[in-house]
Amino acid sequence: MPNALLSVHKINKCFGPTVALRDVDFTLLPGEVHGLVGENGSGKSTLTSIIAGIRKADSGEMFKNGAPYDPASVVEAQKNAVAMIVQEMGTAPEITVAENIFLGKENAFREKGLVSKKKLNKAARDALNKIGVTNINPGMPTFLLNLEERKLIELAKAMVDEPDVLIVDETTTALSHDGRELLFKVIEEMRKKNKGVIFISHDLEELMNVCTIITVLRDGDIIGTLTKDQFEEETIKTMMVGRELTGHYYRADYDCNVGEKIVLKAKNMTGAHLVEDVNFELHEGEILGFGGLSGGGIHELGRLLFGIDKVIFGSVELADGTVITDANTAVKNGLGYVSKNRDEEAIMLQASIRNNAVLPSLTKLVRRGMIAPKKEKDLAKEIIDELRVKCQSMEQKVCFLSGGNKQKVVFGKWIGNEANILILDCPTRGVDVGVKQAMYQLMYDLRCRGCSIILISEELPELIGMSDRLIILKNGKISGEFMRSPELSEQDVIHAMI
Amino acid sequence: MKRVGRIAGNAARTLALPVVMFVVLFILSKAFGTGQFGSLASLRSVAQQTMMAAAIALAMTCNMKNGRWDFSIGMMTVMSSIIGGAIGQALNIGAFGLLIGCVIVAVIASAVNGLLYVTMKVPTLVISIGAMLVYESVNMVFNKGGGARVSDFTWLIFGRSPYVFILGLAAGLVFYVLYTHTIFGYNVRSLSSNQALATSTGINEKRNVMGCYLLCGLMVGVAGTINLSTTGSVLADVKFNGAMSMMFEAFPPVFIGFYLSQYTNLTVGVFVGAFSMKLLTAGMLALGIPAALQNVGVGLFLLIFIAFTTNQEKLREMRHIRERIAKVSALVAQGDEPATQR
Repeated sequence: MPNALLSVHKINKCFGPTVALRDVDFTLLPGEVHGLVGENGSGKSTLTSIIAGIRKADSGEMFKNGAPYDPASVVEAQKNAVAMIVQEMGTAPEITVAENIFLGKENAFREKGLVSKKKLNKAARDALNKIGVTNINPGMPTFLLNLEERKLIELAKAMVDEPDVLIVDETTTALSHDGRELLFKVIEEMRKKNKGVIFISHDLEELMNVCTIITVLRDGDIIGTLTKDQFEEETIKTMMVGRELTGHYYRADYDCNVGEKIVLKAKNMTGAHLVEDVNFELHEGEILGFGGLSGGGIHELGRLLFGIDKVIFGSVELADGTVITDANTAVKNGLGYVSKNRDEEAIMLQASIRNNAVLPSLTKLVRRGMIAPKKEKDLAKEIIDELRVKCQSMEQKVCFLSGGNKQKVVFGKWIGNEANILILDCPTRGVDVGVKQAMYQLMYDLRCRGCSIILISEELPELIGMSDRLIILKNGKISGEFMRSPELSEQDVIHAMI
Repeated sequence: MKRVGRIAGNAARTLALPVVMFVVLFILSKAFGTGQFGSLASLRSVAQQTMMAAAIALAMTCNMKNGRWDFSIGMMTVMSSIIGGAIGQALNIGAFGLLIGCVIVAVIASAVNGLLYVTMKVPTLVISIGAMLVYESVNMVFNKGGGARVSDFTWLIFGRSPYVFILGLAAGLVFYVLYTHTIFGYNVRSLSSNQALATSTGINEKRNVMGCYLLCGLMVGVAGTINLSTTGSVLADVKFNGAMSMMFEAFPPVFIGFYLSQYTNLTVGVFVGAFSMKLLTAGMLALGIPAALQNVGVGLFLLIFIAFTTNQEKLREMRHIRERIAKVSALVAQGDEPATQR
């Protein structure tokens, strides 16, 4: 297309035997906010990383403003006014905010051979102000900032060179409402200036609000492109998964009848941080939701219940009176925990699916002091089959799986260990609609089998849609409790949150 | 005002270690020792010894910041004194000739280490141990193992006051400027903080590694000069004794420097660390502790220091936990149940 800001033509990329992109054509026009959507592993991040110079395509060509474009590195892409905010953490923690924003560009602040800190800090302050961030000191070390603030630094860094093309890859999950507003304002300004934005998100509602056009990818192929007037959630979902998503997304019943038996009891539970004097009981076969604003203590609550962090006052007791003092006791007594920080805390990225899947169950696989290889393989196969993990073999390293499939392995290791109490912290974070639906169905099936679930989430529709009972934490304390009901609305819950 | 308070607080934290160490050792030496510790003359001697220890520690710092260990530094210092001393004497331009000779030898040796690392991709631990063995042999072969001897007293000014301080502090200043205010230093810090991000931003890692090794060589050259100038002669090392102790003595100042860098500049932190360790050695000497046991003292101090700094956050956390337990206990005692709504 002659007036295209950026166009890619017949791009192909393979990782070993896996085809990540197949003859992909994609065009970004001036003034366009182009959404890219697809299941985990559909090729969205691969395509944008090729555009941003992070990796090279196997074949195909790209054009920027009509001229051939083939960046060998991120720096070269930036020189061509293409910037990207990556899904992973893109800041160096031990250097200052200003040094991060101008990383690799220190030459611009050189005076008599030395870098002028004064100039650097001033320019960084201007860059932050430009995107509406006024509360971060450019001279402070980056490790002192939280995840959201670091993402905003990445945004400021990306905008420093005033790019023509901005790629935002799954960034909004790390941002609060205010952070998202800042990002959306930047995107809107780019659109008004006739520049282009490629926006990746699993949140379809957000995607439809922000984007002017959406392209759907599946298994490395472009499935189709929708203009604003064609946006419809069901259509996008069907294009993404290749079939109509039948049935209910969340559970359909409003039957809150749970077992009489109390399987876990938190008594005056207090942690070193945030969580304070929390009391509740979890029943057999109950999905107990925990919600609240970020920083309200919900994630800390999950860690306390599983014994990762110490309960400094009060206790977490099981039905037989066992007190959970550490994660080892928790696992031995049938608890499982899915951390919000999947790649750091829930999975061994460099190990195989088999090693990950059987890890909590090793004691059950021991015969005469040795792990029985057949039992081990059988268990791993059972988990892979039951959760339909998309993989080449059970020996494949987990780091090569898509986000949704990694999460399936995390779920699988606890299911394989026959955990009867599952603590799930943001279990559907960063997974696509297809996997999400499968996870919700799995949770419901587990509940029906008598498994008790503590569902911690920042997404209200998920909490309302899945929980038998919902507890809201505010500043580490319980501020509200709601029973499952068709009348329960987000407004009711938000009232207890703020 | 707030800024002045913060600067004063940081200065106090930086100087706390040598001040406390001095006071404790002073009291102990008055009570149990010779009582000579703490005199102006002994403090000047400690400060003088600090210069060489700090130069070796700075030589280690740049590479250690990026996880590269160099066990050949002690042997390089000895080699720079021996071969550099000979080159200096051949130049026949006095003390500066010795300095130039020592720096040239150390920079070349360190550059060889760096080249081996970037080309062979072998762990630095292996390369530096290999290099140490080679440099030891070079020292033994050079001048038939006779080492270096400078008989002209006027050539040895960098071993005595005030020149030893001028040279040591000048080396520190060079390190400070390069590490803190140049693009090279910025790159060292970003590579140590997030290597993948730094390289994907276009930072040339190999060039930066070589820069670190060259800076290391420069500092080793300064240390070699002070080493030769202090006694006027340096013998080839047998069984690594001197070289090993030079290297191991440099570790505590590096660790102290890394810790103090949260309150002050890393270079200042390393100097404070080197001074503190020399104070400790002088104090133990004044207490009549034999040389063999002095190493035990240094080792124990390092262990306690690392344990304290590593667990400092935990100690703060324990205070915070005690306060929270008291607060929640009072709440529970009052029967203050949290508000819930259904």
